[in-house]
Amino acid sequence: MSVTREQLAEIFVHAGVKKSVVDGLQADVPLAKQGVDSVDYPAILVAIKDKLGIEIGDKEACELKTVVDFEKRLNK
Amino acid sequence: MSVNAAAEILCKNAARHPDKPALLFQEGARSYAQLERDAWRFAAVLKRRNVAPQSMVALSLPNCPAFVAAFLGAVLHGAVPVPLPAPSGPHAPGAFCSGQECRFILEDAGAVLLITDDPAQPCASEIAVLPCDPWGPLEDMPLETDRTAFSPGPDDLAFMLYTSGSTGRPKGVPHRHADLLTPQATLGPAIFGERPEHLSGEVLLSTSSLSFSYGLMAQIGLGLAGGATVLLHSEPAAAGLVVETLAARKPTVLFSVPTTFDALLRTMDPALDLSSLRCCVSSGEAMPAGLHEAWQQRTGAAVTEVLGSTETFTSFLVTRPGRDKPGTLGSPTPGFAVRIVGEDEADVQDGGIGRLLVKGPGIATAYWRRPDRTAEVMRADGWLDTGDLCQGSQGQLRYLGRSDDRIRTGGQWVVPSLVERCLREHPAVAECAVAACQVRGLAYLCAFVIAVEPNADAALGGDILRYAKSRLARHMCPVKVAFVSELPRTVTGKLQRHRLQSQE
Repeated sequence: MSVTREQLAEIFVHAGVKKSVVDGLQADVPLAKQGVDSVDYPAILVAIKDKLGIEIGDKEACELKTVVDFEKRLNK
Repeated sequence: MSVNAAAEILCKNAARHPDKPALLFQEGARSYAQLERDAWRFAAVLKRRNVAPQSMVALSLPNCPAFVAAFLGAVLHGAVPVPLPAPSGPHAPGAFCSGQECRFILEDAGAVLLITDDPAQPCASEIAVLPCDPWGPLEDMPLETDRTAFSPGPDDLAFMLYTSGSTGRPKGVPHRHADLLTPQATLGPAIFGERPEHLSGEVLLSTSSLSFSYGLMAQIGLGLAGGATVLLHSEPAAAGLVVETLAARKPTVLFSVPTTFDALLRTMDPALDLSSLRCCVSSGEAMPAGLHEAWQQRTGAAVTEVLGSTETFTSFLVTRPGRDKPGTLGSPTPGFAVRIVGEDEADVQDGGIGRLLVKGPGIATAYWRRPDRTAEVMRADGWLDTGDLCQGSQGQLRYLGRSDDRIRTGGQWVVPSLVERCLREHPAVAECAVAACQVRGLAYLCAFVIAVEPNADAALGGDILRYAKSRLARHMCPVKVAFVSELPRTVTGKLQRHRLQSQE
């Protein structure tokens, strides 16, 4: 599977992350430091499962901190 | 006569280690001697204002030294401090929270005084106000020379907490003096070892506010009662700020909830040194095995899980890391007993599902002015019906959910109808229902929505989630919107939320 950054951004918006936050995301900075909060994170995992059918495991989800981390996981 | 709980906590520790920091806050500290003095200052003001013993005194304060001093000062005087809920985000107009909730609590408790650092807040206009600084009493408050603490009878109240009811109307849970001392006598040794001053060498941080039962138990009932240094965090829910505090102040004990442990892991810099942490305690909901493992790998500290409630104040179930399986509730805290009963009130057989009952020290014996709910929940023989559905098999207890509609998420209770009321105000929502869903083993909220227009898509779902976030406290926000054509109801039209849970 190949997921582009644009697709990932759309998933973030569908997960309820503010569009302005998504537009300003730096790929290698932790999402938690860029306005993606404790409600957004589980919503992103749910949106990934709904949109891409990918269920991210309990422990590996703890390692997904940045946009780059998500891209690597979804494209592996 | 019982001992005055505040006098027991303050006098014992101020005599033992007067100069030891009791509280760390921002860049400063308050020693045990200073905290004792500040608490007596609050007690003296209550005396001068003719606040009668057993009168209710509301506290509207963030996590700060003034909260601790005012709380303990009120208890010294024999008044009953009633912490108001700390705000945790925007609230829906019309929903039962924030200012409305505070007004309800002030009236229901019959509070005679409000101690606050924000005298301009709306509910302060309806009650006598004692303003203070976050650091403690104002300098012009009198210093009490007569330090004779109120001598409580066994049934005299020490403090009262409010908990959400299944209809959204909060219930007052009054506790007696002995209840405040129960965590240190029972739970403390179970977590930290049997030494008499088992916490005196620790620096304790809680991400749960003092106005919540768990945060109050951790920081005053265990931390200060055990002679620890308590690191007060003014914004305990903000993971980024908590990480900065972990880095700068090096606590040795961390009390938190699974969602915050998870958020901290994702916020921490890989180079952050967490070797000072020797003990972590989690409550609010079961911590998934993967999160347990990731946290221990990252910090080296195992997580002890505990379960309690506003009614019990003391956590009555505790796991032993390495012995109990992740996701189970552990064993009763020494002094407590639990049972699982079926609808016939008889104990269920091994492996059966039923309601969890608990009996032990420090449990509230009545709700405030709610004889109806008291009769349902607090039994004359001492057993408390927690309303939690559990399964017990081979000595291991598992939490399965609630016997009412309330949902526990992020360590806090959510009444679904309050969230639904907010979502229905979104112009694209015709009808909705909120139920629990599991994401990575943690409970969150899912909104099942009938849209006004057909062909609702994921973009509208995202818009509804943002709408909720702009109007509700964080723990009340859904993480998923599922569009449905109808909602399950009984023949009389009552919403059946439990059927939605099974769909997710």
